[in-house]
Formats: sequence, C-alpha cells, structure tokens
Amino acid sequence: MLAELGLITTFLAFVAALYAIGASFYAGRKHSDTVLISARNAALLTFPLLLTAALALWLGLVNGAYQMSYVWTVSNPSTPFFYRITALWGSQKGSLLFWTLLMSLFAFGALVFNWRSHRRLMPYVITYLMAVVAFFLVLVLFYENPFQRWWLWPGKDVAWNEASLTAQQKTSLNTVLTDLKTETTADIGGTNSGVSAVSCVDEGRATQVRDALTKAGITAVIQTPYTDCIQEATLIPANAQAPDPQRLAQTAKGLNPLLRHFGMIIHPPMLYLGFVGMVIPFAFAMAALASGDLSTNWIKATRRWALISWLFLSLGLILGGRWAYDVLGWGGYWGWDPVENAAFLPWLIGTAFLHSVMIQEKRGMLKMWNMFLVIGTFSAVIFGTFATRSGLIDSVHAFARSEIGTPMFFFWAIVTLISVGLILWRWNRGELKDDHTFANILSRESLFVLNNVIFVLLFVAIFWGSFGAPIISSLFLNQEITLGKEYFMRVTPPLFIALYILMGIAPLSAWGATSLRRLGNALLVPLGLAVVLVVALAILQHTTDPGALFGYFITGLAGFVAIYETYRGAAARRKSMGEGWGQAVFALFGRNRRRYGGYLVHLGITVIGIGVIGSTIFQQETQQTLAKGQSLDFGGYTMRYDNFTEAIADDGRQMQIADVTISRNGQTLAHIRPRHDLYPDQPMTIAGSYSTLESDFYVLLVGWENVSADSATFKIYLNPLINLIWWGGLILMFGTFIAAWPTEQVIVSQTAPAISRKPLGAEI
Amino acid sequence: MNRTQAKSTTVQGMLSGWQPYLLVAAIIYIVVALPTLAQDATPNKPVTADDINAVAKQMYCPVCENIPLDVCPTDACQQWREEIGTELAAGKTAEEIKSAFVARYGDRVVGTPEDPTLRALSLITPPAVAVVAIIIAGWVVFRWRRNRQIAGRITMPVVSTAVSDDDYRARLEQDLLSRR
Repeated sequence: MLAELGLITTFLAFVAALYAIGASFYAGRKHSDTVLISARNAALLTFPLLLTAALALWLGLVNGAYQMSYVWTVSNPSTPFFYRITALWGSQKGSLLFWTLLMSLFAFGALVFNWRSHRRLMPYVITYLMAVVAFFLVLVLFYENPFQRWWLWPGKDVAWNEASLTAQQKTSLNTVLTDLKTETTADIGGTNSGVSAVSCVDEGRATQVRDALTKAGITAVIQTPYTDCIQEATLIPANAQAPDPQRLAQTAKGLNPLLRHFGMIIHPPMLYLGFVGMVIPFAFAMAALASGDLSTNWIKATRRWALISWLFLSLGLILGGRWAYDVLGWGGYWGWDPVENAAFLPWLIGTAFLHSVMIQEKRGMLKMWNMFLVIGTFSAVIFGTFATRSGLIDSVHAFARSEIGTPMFFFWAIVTLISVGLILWRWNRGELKDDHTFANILSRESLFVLNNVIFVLLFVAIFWGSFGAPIISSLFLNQEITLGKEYFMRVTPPLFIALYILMGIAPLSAWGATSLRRLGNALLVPLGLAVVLVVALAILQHTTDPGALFGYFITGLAGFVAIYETYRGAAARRKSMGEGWGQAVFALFGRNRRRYGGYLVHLGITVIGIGVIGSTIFQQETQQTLAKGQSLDFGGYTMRYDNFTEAIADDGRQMQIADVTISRNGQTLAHIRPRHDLYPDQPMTIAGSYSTLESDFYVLLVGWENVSADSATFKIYLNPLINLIWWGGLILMFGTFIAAWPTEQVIVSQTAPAISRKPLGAEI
Repeated sequence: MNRTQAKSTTVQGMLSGWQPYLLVAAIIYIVVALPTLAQDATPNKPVTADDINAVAKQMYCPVCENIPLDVCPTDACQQWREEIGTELAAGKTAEEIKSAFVARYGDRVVGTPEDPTLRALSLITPPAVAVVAIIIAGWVVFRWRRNRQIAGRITMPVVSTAVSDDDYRARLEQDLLSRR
C-alpha cells in the first residue's frame, strides 16, 4: 500500500511538472495569465505530492515494510527509530527522492514568495524550475525507484549438465549465451551438483534458451528452480506473490555503518538544501535571459534564496567535516577527497556570486559575469551530483555506481550549453552591457572583481585536481593522474591567502573610489590588533613558524576589520543617537542586516581560518602500544591506558572499548573511550577525544592483544585550535541568518539625528 | 730476548723510507673510522610505528578510495605498512620506498605523479591558468579605465551610491572625531 501510494504520487508529481513546463512556456509566449496561474498551481502541486511520496517511504522505513527493496537495503529490525528516519537519504534511491522533494520545496517557496513581486519573470521561472524537477523525477521513476518491491514469481530454470560438455560444446554454449545476453548460475544446487542453468526466466524465454542450446548440440531441460525466484520490480510481475515478511526481515541488510552517526542526520539534508536551493537563482537568471528583463529584478528576487542556499551549503560542508572527523578515524576533517571537493566547488562559485551581485545592484556592472557565476554555480551543483552518484569517482563519500550517470551527464551538458548560449545571445544583442565603468583600482568594486577572480581560480585549481587532471589524462594520455593532498596543499594556500587579504581590505574601501591613504588609515587599528593576535598565538603555541604566524596575521586582519567596522558603526550611533552599546549594535544590525551580517560571516570565516591553520600546521601524532596501567606523555598531556572491555550495543554491533584517562600536570582531565565497532560488513574506528578551545586530544584504538588485551595500540593526535572550525561555523551561520533576514523598517529610536534623518548604517 | 730483538730488528728493517708514515696514517684512519665501523656493526635503530606512519602518510592505499595509507584500516593496508617497516629497517629511504610502491601500483599511491612530465602538467596547469586569468583581468581593468577616461571627457559620472557611502563615512568620521 505504501509503495503504491509513493509510486502514484511521484508519478503524479512528474505529470504535474510536465504540465507546468508546457503551460508556463505557453503562458510566457502568449502572455496568458489564466494559463500561467494554472501552470503555477501545477508547479505548486509537485511539493505536496512529493511530500506524500516521501512520507510513504518514511512510514515504510519506520514500520519495517521490508518488501520495499529500499527499506530492506537500508534498515533491518535492529535499526533504531532514529536511523530509520535518516535512512531516507541513506542510499541512492531514497536520497534522490529526498533531493527532488527539497527542490520542489524551494520551488514552492519561490513561487509563493516571489509571485506578486516578479510576475514578469514567472512564466520562465516555472519552466526552468519544473524542467529540473521533472528531470530528477525521471531519475527517481525510471532509474532509481525507491518504491520497487521484492516479488516471488514462478520462473523456470533452463538446466544442462556442465560436466558432460566437450570443449567444443562449451565454446558453443558461451556463444549462445552471449548472443542471448543471459547469465548462468553454475552449480544450481539441490541434488543436481555440477548442473548449470539460466535461472529464473519466464516460460517464453526459457523455451528460447532451450531451443538455442539444442540447436547448438547441447541437451538442456526446462525445470522448476530449486530456490525461489525473487525479483525487484516497480509493477507487480504476472503471477507474482509477496515474499514471507519474516524471511525478508531476517535477511534485511541495515544501514551502512558509516551513516550511523549523529552528523548524518543533519549533514546530508544541509548539503542537499544548499545544492538544490541554487536552482532558484539559476531559474530566475535564466528567466531574465529568456524574457529580456535584464534589470536587477532577478537579483533582487534571488539574493535571499542564494544566501539561504549558501548557508545550507556552508553548514553541509562544515558538518561533513565534523562527520569525517568523528567517524572516519583519521584525525582530520578534510581530505581533499573528490566528493568533498565536488561539494566545495559550487560553494566557491556561489560565494563569488554573492559578492559580485552587489556590484550589479549598486553600480549596474558585471551583468554578464553574474549570469556566468549563477549558471556556473548550478552547473557545478549538477556536475558534483553527477560525479558523486554516477560512479565516476571512487570515494568513501560517494554513492554506489549507478545507471544515472549517463542521463545526468547529458542533463548537465545540455543545461550548461543552453545557459551559456542564452548569455551569449543577449550579450551579442548588447543587452548585458554595464551601466558604469571602474573608476579606481582600490574601489570596492575593483577589489570585489579581484575577489571573484581568486574564487574562480580556486575553483579551477580544485576542479583540475579532482576531475580535470584524472579525466583528461585518462582520455588523452592513456593513464590516469590522481592528485592527492600534496597537490592541493601546494596549489591552494596562496589563493586562500589572497582571499583573506582581500577580505581584510575590501570592506574598508568605498564604492566608486578610495584613496590609498584613506584605506591605509582605516587599516591601522585592525593591523595593530592582528599583530597582537599573532603575538598571543605565538606565545600560546610556543611557535616562531613564519608561515603559521603570517597565516594568523592575514586571517586575524580580516576578522578585526569586521569587528572594528562594526565597532565604529556602533560608536557612531552611540554618539549621534545617544544609545547604549547593546542598543547601538542591535540597531546597526537591524538597519543594515546585509552589511553587518556579512561582517559576522567574515568573522566566522576568520575563526575557521585560524582553526584550519592551527590544526594543519601544528598537528602532532604518534602511535604507541601501552600496557594496562602504562602512561604516555604527549603534547603536554599524559594518557593512561586503564582497561579494555567488550560490549554489545542495542543495534547488535559488537564494541571493543579502551578506557583511557587524560591528565595534565598530575590533574585528571577526562576519561575517554576510543572504540572499535564491529558491524557484519565492516569495522569502524570511533575516536575518543578530550576537547578544549585550545586543542583536541584525539585517541584512536588501532589494535590490542586478542586474548588478554593487556596491551593496546593507540594512535594519538593533538589537533590545536581545531574546535575553532566548528565555532567559526556557528558564527558564520548566525551572520548569514542576519544577512538573509527580510529587511523591514525598524524604528529603533524616536529621536531624529541632528545631521541627517537617515540613520547611520543604513543603505550602504 | 734475542729472539725478540731479532724480531724487532726485522720489523724495523721492514719499515723504511715512507713506510712509517704510511703506518701512522693507517693507525689514524683506524682510530677515526672505528667508531663508524662499530656503529655499522651494531643493529639499526628499531623502526617505530611513527617512522612507518611518517612514510605511509605520504602515500595512498593503492586499492581503496582516496584513503591515505597511514590511516587506511584494511588488512591490505596493514600489510603494506608492515612492508614499509621492513624496508625502513633494511635501510631504505622514504623516497626509495615510495618509488618501489609506484613501480608496483602506479602513480595513484602518491599524491602527485612521479613521472616528471605528468608532475609538471599537474602542478603547472593551475598557476598557468592563474597567470592567464590575471592578465585577462588586468586587461579588462585597463580597458574599463580607458573607457572611463573617454567617457569622462564627455560627462562626469555621478554615482549615487558612492555619494551615499561617502555621506555615511563623512558622518561616521565626524562622529568619531567629535568623540576625541
């Protein structure tokens, strides 16, 4: 029942999307409001329909409907309720449905919130949104259907005695089977040891195979199979019946152990929201190109959507790093894995877009560039999805190899080509010309352009290392170049340094023109504060490493510029409005959420940067075998191996746990329990860690004596400042919330300023 | 006694001309070289897990999914790490060990190709793209500035937002100055 419900609602959503595409396109061409409203309603309908489908799958997961093959694959009777919920995105089929659901949710939101204000763009917005939704529904319905079920059906075996075949007959057999494109089962079991067969085929096929074999001089018989013929099918095969539910429950696989982690509740949905949200700016940009409304309307309509998507993408990346840190057991959070990079690429282009879009709003410049960026972001999303889900790359983060690779590749190529074609067409007509030109090399728009160039260069460098070099070398050099951490650590740091420098300077420059002297004066205080930070960190970490200190200085400068600018704004308000500090800061954020929210985001990125530098350059590691009661001094801490225990968890996994005490200067700080989780398919190494803002003392249990466990081997990492990465993520999230929050006129003070009616901090 | 004397005389008779100097040089050489020889004669410093991991960290599991060899949990990786330990104990350097693995499993066991051409192609492409991009950006900015100069002769551009920004800054600076 649940499978039927899910299948029907998914199919109806597909029909609704197709109708919306046709109707909205017609409405756009013929300027028909009635048809447009009908198209909108159909587009809106996709969300509740897909929500119903997802709920059906969720109910199947919660209730253990193992006849649904997806439920059987990602859960079993011992799977906790919590992981039954997250199992919706635990494998390819469910996650594609979930992805499409989120996309329809974004489409729903965009149509509801932007319907009145951007009516002119709506026909083409609906067309593009629904085209993307419809494509993903094609994948869900025809390639990776999560509503397929297991069926027992009365198939036949065509069997022959393999042992009695001559060499010539074996050759003929292979030829026949290859011609018929069929597979054989050797030694089919039962009493017929040595008998091979083409198993579980229908009557017609069985006759065809037998006749072909007979013609080739091989004696074959059609017989009833010794084991049940089970088939995964969307529609009920003829004469099929449902398998025994208990038998299905006993054989159900359960969720991939790597996905049984708290981070997996949030990380995939965040990343998906970030990915699919980018469809809204893309659809509006394409609508602007198609309709010819190339004013800033499409930017105004999509800025908030782009920010929300960017926030989710950022959170998805950070949470993914945290998941890797906790679950993958290698002491790090970012391995420059192609799948990680595939998620990072749209973030880079999206961030460039969020900056450059301001130039178009303020100065009417970079119209064509912004189009390229927004389309590039969506193109990177689709390419990343293709790379992750097609089997193009091997990664611990990737989905299993799938048939969706080819359609996804063509979709990506077609979308990108059409988009670029439209841009070039409008550009050729002279409709994407800028309203102003650049006046000054130190103006904010010039620095933003430089920022964009560096983001794009980072994109190119990471794309080349992850996909470009491997693909091009495979195609043209007949060997595959694989580039690892060494490549990325050589190529990307100079670009990140340049970005942080710009993050420190650009907010201080003005639109239009800025003098070097004025910029230098504005930088003085943040520069001084950055020096203080460097000295403090040098003392704290006992380091004179010039690379690290330079890194701290550059990142610190960017953060202090954000703080100092906020301080100056608040101080100005205090002076002019007579407000207290809290009220002044609150008013400042209220008056120009975008600007001061942006500063908070910069501060978050600064904190993340300091965490990355500290944990990368100063990471220490050692591997030691300790006897019970023996201690080890490492990184200023003392670690003692106390005990070893084994236990069975509620979900049936076997746990092997080491009890470890962490102390410093004779004072016990924590008892931690690094462990091994043994699942049927794979072991997991779960770290124990003692976390402070200063560092993480991160312990992995890598081996122990099998019988007595009197001694155990530990791999220990000291990761300085690593927790700043997670805290920076929180600041970034908070800042983006503020920047994306709908702007309203907030009356903070009834007192009019003496020199201007316009409150300070507004409209910058 | 006589026998001893005779022997001594015989030895003395053998060391004539430049030979005593040769003997002194040989003794000095032995004295200097002995500690080194003695060092070579003793067993090597035991190879620790940290030594092995330091080499394995620079390599990738040849058959897994982009997992560094030092942290790869599979049995195969464990065997490869043991092999690295054996090679280190035999006196091989990290580079020699990496080269041996590359010869067996190909370039995918290291982060960048060992082959000089492929290595150059891998590492130079991004900076080359960067140089081209910066040249293009420079050219675009130059063109913008030139266009602006031409436009400036016709009419002075008025940028409302810049004025607004300057207004804010002026007021901000005024506030800040008045506080001093």
